[in-house]
Amino acid sequence: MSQMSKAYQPGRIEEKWYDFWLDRGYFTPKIDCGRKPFVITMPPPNVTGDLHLGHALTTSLEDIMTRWHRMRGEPTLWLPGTDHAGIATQVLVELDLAKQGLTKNDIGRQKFLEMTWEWANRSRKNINRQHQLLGASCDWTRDCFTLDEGPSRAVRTAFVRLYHRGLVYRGERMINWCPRCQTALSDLEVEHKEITGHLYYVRYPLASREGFITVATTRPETIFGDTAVAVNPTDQRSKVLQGEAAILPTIGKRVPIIADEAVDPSFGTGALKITPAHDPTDLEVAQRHHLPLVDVMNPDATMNDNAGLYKGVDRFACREGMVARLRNAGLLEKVEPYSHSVGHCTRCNILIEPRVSMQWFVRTKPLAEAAIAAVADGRITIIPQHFGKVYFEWMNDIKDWCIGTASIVAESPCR
Amino acid sequence: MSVEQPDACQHCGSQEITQDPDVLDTWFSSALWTHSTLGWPDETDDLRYFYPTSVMETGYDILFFWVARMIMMGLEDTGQAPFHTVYLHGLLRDEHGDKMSKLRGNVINPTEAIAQYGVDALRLALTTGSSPGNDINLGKAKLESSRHFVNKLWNASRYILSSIDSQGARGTALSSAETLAGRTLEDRWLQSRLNRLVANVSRLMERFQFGEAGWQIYDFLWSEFCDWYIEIAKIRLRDWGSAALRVTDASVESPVPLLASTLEKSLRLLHPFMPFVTEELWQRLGERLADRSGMSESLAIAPYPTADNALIDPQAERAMSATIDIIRSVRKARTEHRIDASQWIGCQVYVGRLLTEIASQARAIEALARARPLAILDRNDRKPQRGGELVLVLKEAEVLLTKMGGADQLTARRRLTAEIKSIQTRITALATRLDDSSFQTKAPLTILEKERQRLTAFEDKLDRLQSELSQLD
Repeated sequence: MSQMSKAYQPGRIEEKWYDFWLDRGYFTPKIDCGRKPFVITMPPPNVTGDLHLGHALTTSLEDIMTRWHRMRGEPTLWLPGTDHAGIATQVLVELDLAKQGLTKNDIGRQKFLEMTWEWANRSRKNINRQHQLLGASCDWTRDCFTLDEGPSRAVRTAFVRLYHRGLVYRGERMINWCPRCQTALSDLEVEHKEITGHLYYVRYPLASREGFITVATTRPETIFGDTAVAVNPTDQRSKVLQGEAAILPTIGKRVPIIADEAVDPSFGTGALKITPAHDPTDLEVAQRHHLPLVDVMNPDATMNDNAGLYKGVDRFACREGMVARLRNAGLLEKVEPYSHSVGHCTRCNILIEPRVSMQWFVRTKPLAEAAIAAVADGRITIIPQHFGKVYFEWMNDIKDWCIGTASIVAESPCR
Repeated sequence: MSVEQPDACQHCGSQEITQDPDVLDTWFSSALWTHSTLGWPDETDDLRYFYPTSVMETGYDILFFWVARMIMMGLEDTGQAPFHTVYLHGLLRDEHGDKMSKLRGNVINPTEAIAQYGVDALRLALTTGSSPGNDINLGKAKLESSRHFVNKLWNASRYILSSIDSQGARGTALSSAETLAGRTLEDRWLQSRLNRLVANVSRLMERFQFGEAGWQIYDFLWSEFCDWYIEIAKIRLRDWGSAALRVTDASVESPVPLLASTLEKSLRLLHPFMPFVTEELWQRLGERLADRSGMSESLAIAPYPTADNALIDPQAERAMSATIDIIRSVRKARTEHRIDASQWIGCQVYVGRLLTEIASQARAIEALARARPLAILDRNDRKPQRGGELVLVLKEAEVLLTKMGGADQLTARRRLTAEIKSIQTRITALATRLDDSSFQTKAPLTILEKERQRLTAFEDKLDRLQSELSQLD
């Protein structure tokens, strides 16, 4: 027996006992059908970095429960795992590449995938080691990663089951598109920066009588995609115009003048052009009023067939052209300098283009009803209790769940 | 639409199919986590046995993103709720209650904290005093006091282990401590307190009150075990070590077996909170006991303590708390009167019903309050005082201290008058509360009873204070 030091010296002692516990297999429960097990699934940390103090708290609390139940003689399983964190991990790998002046397109898809896996594996090891440092008595023989074959197959199975139950549908949703990288970007990959541009006051002639309704816009090049002009229903200035129609300036197409709460009466003239294919708020307005979508751009941000004579012209060149045409036609009331926040691609720093894309949605209503019942009838207890109320409020008001587009979904041109 | 990679379109047979290039929301795979990790969709042994799981523990900030979706998908895929309890912890903030952020520079890195304070101290700081759903404040001071506690436990254990060695008590069995039960007041008191603690901890753990459970263990070990029992045991061991006493007084037993068994139980209680230092100490203890006294090969799989209600002894608790009250009050008076720590002061303690029990603690009171000569007497035998003594009126006793410079009539009168005023205020407040009809109907009977007892105790103390004051006239 070694002498006890005057003060406790944690380092070596911690390592010694963790190895001892692991070695004896205490953390791997034996299935004993005569006894009820105690089971915790660890919330899987993202493989995007080190553990922070919040993880240490989670780990401490879960380990307290796990060790307590194990000491009470229950077969006890604390199942550890890590999460791929999707795009967030890819972004980190890309940032690493960027330091060497490379992009993922430079090295090719295969190599990029390899690098991402390497990153994830390194990070997983690190996270597991940190959990062990904290004394977490997890069953490492059951360690899981969200991209392991098991969980991946579960994802495909769950998706297909939902699809066959008619609980999955495709719907339109605005995504962030980088015209240069030619890819959709997650919100994490979009950096919002303040830029100084202009606010253009454009006159839209009324369809049925003399006069104009003037809208304020930063993007006159998208007038080709307008499918309405909108005002706030409470706006007295334009009350008489609600329900009338306006003519798209220099284009001649007729669009309705609608009233929608989303319009801020204090912005510009209080009237907005609605371009559902190129702006997320406009898309929501259009969905509420069943307005058509007119996409006026190609994926590389040049104008498409819908932009008439500007077809093939870059978005910013088209803007200059439209401004000149409007001015010549006497339809440009004024131009004000205007600074606003605009999303940029974190990879190439180019202005992102909002684009409508078809996405997969889960119809959550029937799922939420079952989930509400499980808490209401006491099959699940939420601690502390007051979060139960918050849960019910949220579940009663649940929106369909946009789960993106699964890479498992195979499509043929026949659909 | 299929689970595995298809070769052709199921609708038209075309082999010109493409994979949709976008990515699934990462919360979708997370929503399946409780069943996908156990093998679902296969009917594996793990899934059959371990699903549904027991507890989902996470921060309240992802109740919707994650927990709600797990419930939905768990029910959808398996027909069963994925867990029976959702435990939501609060968010961590710094010692001033501010959010931790890189910008503020108040972030505590767990790896660095482990290197500096040790894992056990970090875990203790994170969990004691926390309660479900409430945010947790953590700063250097809390980490330091947790480390201080780990060291206190280490040093107390060092003392106990060295006592086992030096008293030739190696090879003792833990069960020998039980046979000693009832021998001395402090032994009965310690066992009562420990079993009450064990019962409380079980109840709190079952209600997910881990912070409070940890705090109560901490408090018991620090205060009752280390500050009182071990200090009294040191005196006993000195006496027991002196052969003359051992021969003449058979009632003086060694406290070592109870020290060992209380340490052993406490380490088991504390293990879930502080796994490393407890295992180290427990193993060191085990090596000193006969056949490890039936201890398993690791604390990690040792049984969690269960309370023995037969050992709960309210009378011993009352007498011991009166003893502690006497020692504390004398110490306080010594400090107030700037009595040198090495100086003995004469002390007469007058008690009522608890005379025998408190008298059994004479050695402890003498040594810990440095009171000599010490007399513990029946309240009814008290003679009119000669004057010049300082009188302390306590819950269960009156203490007269002699040779206290500055304890003149005037000061004594002022002190007693102030105490009388203060206790009268408390009596009025408590009496008003007890008279309140809504309190009478709403408060649980046990609380009502407790409050009535408090009132009686206050009134008793007021009587005694007033009689002390009248003696001064």
